[in-house]
Amino acid sequence: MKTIKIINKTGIHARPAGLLTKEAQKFSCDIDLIKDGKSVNAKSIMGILGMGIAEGDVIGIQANGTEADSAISSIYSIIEKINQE
Amino acid sequence: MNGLGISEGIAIGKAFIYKTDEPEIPHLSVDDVVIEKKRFSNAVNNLTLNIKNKYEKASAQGDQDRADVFMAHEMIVNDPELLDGVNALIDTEEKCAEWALEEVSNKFIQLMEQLDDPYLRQRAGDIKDIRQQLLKLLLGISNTIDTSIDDSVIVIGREFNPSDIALTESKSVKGFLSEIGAPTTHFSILAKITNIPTVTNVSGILEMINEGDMLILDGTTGEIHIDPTKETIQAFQQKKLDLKQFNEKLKLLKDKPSQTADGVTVEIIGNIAGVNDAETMLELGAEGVGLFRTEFIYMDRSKAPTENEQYEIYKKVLLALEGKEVVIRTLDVGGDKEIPYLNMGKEDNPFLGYRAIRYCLNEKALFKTQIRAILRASVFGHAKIMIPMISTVDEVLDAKVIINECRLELQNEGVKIADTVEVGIMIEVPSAGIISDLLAEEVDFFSIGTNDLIQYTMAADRMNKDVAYLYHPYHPSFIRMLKMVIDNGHEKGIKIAMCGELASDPTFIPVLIGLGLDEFSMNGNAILKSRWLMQNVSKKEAQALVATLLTLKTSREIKETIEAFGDAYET
Repeated sequence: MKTIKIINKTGIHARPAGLLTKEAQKFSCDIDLIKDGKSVNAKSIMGILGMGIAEGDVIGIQANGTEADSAISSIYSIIEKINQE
Repeated sequence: MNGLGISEGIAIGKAFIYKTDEPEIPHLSVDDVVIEKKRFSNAVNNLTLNIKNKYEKASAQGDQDRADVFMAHEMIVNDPELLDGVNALIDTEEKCAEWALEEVSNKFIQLMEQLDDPYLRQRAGDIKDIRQQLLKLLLGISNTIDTSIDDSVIVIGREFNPSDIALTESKSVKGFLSEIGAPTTHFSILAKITNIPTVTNVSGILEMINEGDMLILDGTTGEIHIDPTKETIQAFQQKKLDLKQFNEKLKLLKDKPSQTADGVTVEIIGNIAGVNDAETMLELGAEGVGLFRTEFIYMDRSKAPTENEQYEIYKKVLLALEGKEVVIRTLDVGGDKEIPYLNMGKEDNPFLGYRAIRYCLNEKALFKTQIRAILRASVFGHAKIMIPMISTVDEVLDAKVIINECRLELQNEGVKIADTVEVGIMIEVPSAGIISDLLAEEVDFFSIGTNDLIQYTMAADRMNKDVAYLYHPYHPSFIRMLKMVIDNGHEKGIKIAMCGELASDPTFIPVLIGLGLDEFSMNGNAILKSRWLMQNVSKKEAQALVATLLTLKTSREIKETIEAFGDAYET
């Protein structure tokens, strides 16, 4: 599992959540985002929005299956990009 | 009975009650889960196609914010958690698709409504919207009008959404009537563009009208007649015919110059807020754009638009105007226009405070982003820059330094820009009016913003009813102010425009012609009517009118004199 801290002031809103889901859907493996011990399907925009990810939250990224490692690093770099916005 | 007229014209037809409420959800067990799942996936596929179409339309129109919303909607419809959840409930509990959808979506809605972030809480509304659209597809509830009722139908609802304008694709829809609405909603703007008579703000109308009742509505006056008498119907049919003939007469003026009865030419240009308005301008008879309110590019978003985003918008607007002038007003924020992410803070007197150019000169990076975008787009047409809320010569000089800085930067980067981009200012602060002779030496044009200039000249808050007796254009001080600004500008050889509401006021147009105003900037649908009115005004007579006005002492005398002049030419 890889972790990243959210430093974007507005957290993960609809558009960034959309970008994240789109990226996750490119992979066939299961990808989960984890916050405070709760995990959601990274391919689900409603799951991500429902988590209410805000500035300062630390998010874990976990994947299982084919290309799990590259899935984790793609999602990580998308969140890095969101952080820079 | 009366409501608020939002889109002009008269509609006569039978009432059609348009239900915008959530449909009742059936709770049934199903025998064949395979068929049920297929039914659900069909609904999902249909809605996806529908949203994709909307997405493409919005992107083609350059409306990236709306396109983003549709993209998010598409992802919600196809959310794996939603689809798997619904299919699982159909499989294991043999619930019908509607019931399963209700349960699964409720789970997400509840989750989101509990969040701290108000923005994310609102996303629950998006899920409800998607659920409603899916339910309508599943239940076979159509959003189209049953044209068998009558060949003339007036659609009545609580409140209309922008997408409801698609109802006009049915030729039998003649008008819209709603309980809730405002001139500035997306629906209202679309109604105006579509030219469909629309009246809103009639509370309780849904209880007063039964489906099939005969109805007349007048989108110009806001009048409504339920079950009208034969005579009333005939009177409105005549009015409708007159209006149609008048509009056809106006259309003939579309490509004609704006001329007074004695052959003096002025220009009528439009006020716009974005690409959509720009695209209708030439059709509405505009000879250019006199005011592009760029603050709308900055509103309803979470951070400032980038240089590229702005460049694309300015480019589209300039191309739409086919080489005719486009006056782009730089960010006019503050006062009553709030943009949350700019963090401007609360002020005791926002109208006398930190706003427009006062703010932009301090937030240099934000200002430069806009100027660079305008300069880059300038090769696509005839762009001009207009600075709002100028009070001193120093502000003009400072702004010009920044504009030059941007020009040099772009030239060094090898970016092509137009050889000249004229820079003008709004005259809306009395100090600017008083030193307009000095300002005229530093700028290429003036544009008088009447709403603020009246309120500042009279020191009367335009929102405050108790001082409304001071807020009008008839005070001698205001007439003198206009004369001073126009004369000072002309002395230095620059053109004077007006972009406030007064520029299209039928009774005031003769005064402005008499004062020598060069350009009248107004909302698109007032252009042809104003051009028609001007044909009846002689500049000579208008100058005599102004000479008389300048001798009068009170607002009442001035108002009466202007109105008496108007009565003679308006009909």
